[in-house]
Formats: sequence, C-alpha cells, structure tokens
Amino acid sequence: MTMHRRGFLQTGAAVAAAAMLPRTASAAGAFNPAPQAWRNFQVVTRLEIANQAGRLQAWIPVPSVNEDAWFRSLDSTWTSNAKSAALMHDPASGAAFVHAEWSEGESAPVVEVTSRISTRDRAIDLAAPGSATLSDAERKRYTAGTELIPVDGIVKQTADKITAGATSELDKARAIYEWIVDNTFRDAKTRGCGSGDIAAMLKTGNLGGKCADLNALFVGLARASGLPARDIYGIRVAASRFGYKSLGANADIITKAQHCRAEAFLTGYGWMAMDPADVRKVVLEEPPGNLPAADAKVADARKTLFGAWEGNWLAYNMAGDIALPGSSGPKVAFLMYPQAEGSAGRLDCLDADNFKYVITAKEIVA
Amino acid sequence: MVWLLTLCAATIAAVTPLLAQPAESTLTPWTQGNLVPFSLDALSGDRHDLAADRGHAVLVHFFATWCEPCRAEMTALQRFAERTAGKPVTILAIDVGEVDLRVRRFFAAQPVTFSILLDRDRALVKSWQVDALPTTIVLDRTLTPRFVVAGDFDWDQPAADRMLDDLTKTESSEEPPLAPARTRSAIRENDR
Repeated sequence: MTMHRRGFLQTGAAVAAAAMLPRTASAAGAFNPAPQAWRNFQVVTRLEIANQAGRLQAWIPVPSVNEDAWFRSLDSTWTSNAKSAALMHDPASGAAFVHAEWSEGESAPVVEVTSRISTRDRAIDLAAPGSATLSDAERKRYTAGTELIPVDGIVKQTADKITAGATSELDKARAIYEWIVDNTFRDAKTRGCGSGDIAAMLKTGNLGGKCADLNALFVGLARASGLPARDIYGIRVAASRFGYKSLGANADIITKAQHCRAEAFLTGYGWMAMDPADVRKVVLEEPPGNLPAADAKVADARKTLFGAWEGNWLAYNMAGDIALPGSSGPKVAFLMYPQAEGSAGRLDCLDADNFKYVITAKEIVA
Repeated sequence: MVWLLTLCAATIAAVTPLLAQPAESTLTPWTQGNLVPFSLDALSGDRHDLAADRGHAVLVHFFATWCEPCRAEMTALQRFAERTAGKPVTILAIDVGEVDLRVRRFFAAQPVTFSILLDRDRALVKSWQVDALPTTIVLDRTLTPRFVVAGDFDWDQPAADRMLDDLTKTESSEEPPLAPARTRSAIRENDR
C-alpha cells in the first residue's frame, strides 16, 4: 500500500539524471567496511505500559540471526512483573521474541529484555568468487513470493525489464540495485520503516518510502528474477566509524533506530550484503542534506553498499508475516518493533513515547 | 564503470514507461466488475455490514492516518457529509492496516460524523484490489460500483454533489444511474 504523490515522476527523473553525471573523486575510499575485529553490544529494551485494562501481552523481538561471517546472537535475558514471560520462536522462520503476559489489574506492567550480540563489518570480494551454493529447499524459499512481496505480475514485469541483457547473477543483482538507487527516494514522512507493499509501489509509480519499502523492493525484484534474496530486520546500535551521520545510531538511546537490510544469494559468492535504501538515506539525510548523486559520500555509499555494510547494526530476524502467539490481532508484516496488545486492541508500536518503550545500546569493551 | 553506467542508463530508459503514472484524481467510471460485499468492525465497536446500506449511494473511502493527502481529504469529506446530510448517502471511511488506537487518536483530534471502519489485516483492500491511498469507490443504491477516484479528491467541487444527486435519484437497479458520457463531461468541466 502506498500513497499518491504527484511529484514522483519529476523527482525520479531528476535523480536518474543526476546519477548519470560523472562522479567526483570519492572521499579517498573512506567508506570501506571489511571483516576485522568483532564488536560486542548489549541492547536493553524496556517496556512500561500504561493505561491498559484487561488482559495485556507483549512480544519483544530479540536477536536470532547467526551468520558465521558477520553476526552472532548471544544470550537474551529478561526481568518482568508479568505473570508469565518466555522466550519463543516463530515456527516458520525461527524469529525469536520474549512473550510476556500480565495478570489483569497489574497497575504498572513492565518488562526489560537484555540481549547481547557480536557483530562486525562484512564485505565480499567480487573478484574472488568461492564455491557457495544454496540447497534446493533454500532456493525455493528465498525466491518465493510473500503477502506483501509478490514475485509475479508487475513485479515480474519490472524485474524482467530491469535485468534484460544481464547475463550473470551478478549482473542481475547489480542492475536491480542500481535501478533501486536511481528510481526510488527516501520519504521522510513515511511512518516507521514503511510497510513494504511493493506491488502497490510499482502500480502507483510512487517509489518513495524507507528501508522496509526500498529494500523489500530489491528483494521482490531479485526473487522475481530468480535470485534468492531476503530482508533482515534489525536496529542500528552505534555510530558509523566511517563518518556517515545518517548511517548510525548517534546516541545510547536507539528507540527509533530500526533498520532493515537485504541480501541476495549469488552462486559462488554466497549471501551478499545489499542496502540500496541506505544509499537513498545518505542522499536525503547526510549533512547538509539532499545531496546530489554525484556527491562523494553518495558515490561511496552507492559503491560500497552493494556487497558490504558496516557492523554497527543488530540483526533481529529474517521473518515476514508473523502470527504473534496469543494475539487476537492480525499478523505483523515483520517483527522489528516491540508489540503489545490489551483488551482494547494492539498498541501503536511506532509510537514509542505513548506505548511506551525505550531501547538503549552500549558497546561492551573487554 | 562504463558498463555499469551503460547498463544503468539502459535499464532506466527501458523500465520507466512501465511504471504507472500517478493517477489523475478524478472520478472515473468503474469498469472492473462487481465487488464482494464486506463486513468490518467499526471504530465505534459495532460491526458494519455493507448490505445494510442498500438504498443509499455509498462512498467507500480507503485511507490511513499516516497518509498525508488522506488527512487533508478527510476534512473535505466531512464537509461533503454535512452538505449531503438528510440525503440517501452513506460515507464509509475504511482505515487500512493500522492499530485501532492510532485511528482512535486521529479522530479524537479530528472528529467526523460518518462511520470509520477497520481493515486491520488488509483483507478488504486485497479483495477489492485497492493499490494506493487514498482511494474512493462510489457505489449506487444497489451497491453496484459506479465510479472510482484513485488519489485525493476535491469533495467541495460541484461535480461531486451532482454525481451523488444523480446516483441518489436512481430508483431501480435495472436503470443506469446516469449516462457515463454525461458524468464524465460534467466532471471534466469542473476539473478545468
């Protein structure tokens, strides 16, 4: 689902034209994340839910991604005055969350979840493909459509146009990544990270949004092209060491720093980092803002975020369309924000101040 | 670099025409066949069945509180509701995919006199193939879809009143509510 915005074509055309300009020299190759030392972080999510009568439940995402090269979910612990609280997993995806339920009449429901992770930069050497392969079952899973990310209809038509003439998987992934960067835009007014309804984006021609829209579009177009791809839902936990103010959490409180990234699987290379949405974030937000495509920081981000990203980010899960156990409400498209539900219905997870919840992060240095 | 820019330019040129143009926000005749009736929870706590509106012209208006054009259009829709009060016209504003709490807060600050319904799981927009917000589908007194406007619409324009007048004058489902050519002409005239 998207909203109409008549200015889209002009904006898109301007960006596309700007992308054709010669690039200026990059900032000495400044944005060059590479797998080096692991960094450890502790993330605390605290919910203090007020003004809820009747049965009250909450579901707090905890990290469940484990990738040898770049991310380790360590332990998650919690304290709460709930009558029950347990670590649970979505059966389809393995996404983990703490499910808490309070007794009726609890005057000050609270739960605090502490998670520890290790993370580091990742990058792939495009000149040195290895021997990575994907099982048939995984390939089927990561090329399939979902409720919000269909891989037929206009998504397939668009993908076929974008990848026409691309002969290798790498060429296809590159073509789709560049198309996203050239044709979409980050819309600051999008709530949260967006909804990720990519068919609506393509049908209406409104290609504005945030990470859950733009990177989902990458995933859908890739899958429709036969490339396995997936979204990873997470949150930024630290400032960028490469000087990108827009690509990091710049304070200990990270309540509104959620960010989802994408991956595509290329035979030989394995899962590759993809974050075209963050290129558009640099364009819009990197000071002084509204940078041209030819700006060195934009050019660096565009070059780097195809195959690499910085390890200042926590990966919760790769799950979509999650049914929350015990909930009477609809499935959530993704589990990147704490969720809670009282007798009057589900709380607004994007309204942290009224919900309310606070997420903090700190690096653990040995 | 050269191959990259070449590929990039080629794909943009090839794909851009495929993308839908932003819709002109005008009423256009409905051409997609019948729609499945719905029953949805209302923000008031009641259940609303579309079948109960038979005999009225019905504006089924899809919106979300995060949608900027939707917010502006809602005030115009309220003025339209006030102008058509007493006539056989029903406005159903359907919030898409948001939590009740947020919708309740929105209308506490901006009350309206018509019904607010909740498509919490987006089942209705999928069934009715509504791709963008806001979208309004106008049904005649037999609940047959007659017009659609994809995008925000100026409900203060006289053409909107005339369209509803024509629809509400229709007595029988066998008789078209108005000649399509006349409607299109009237609306175009007002769009200038």
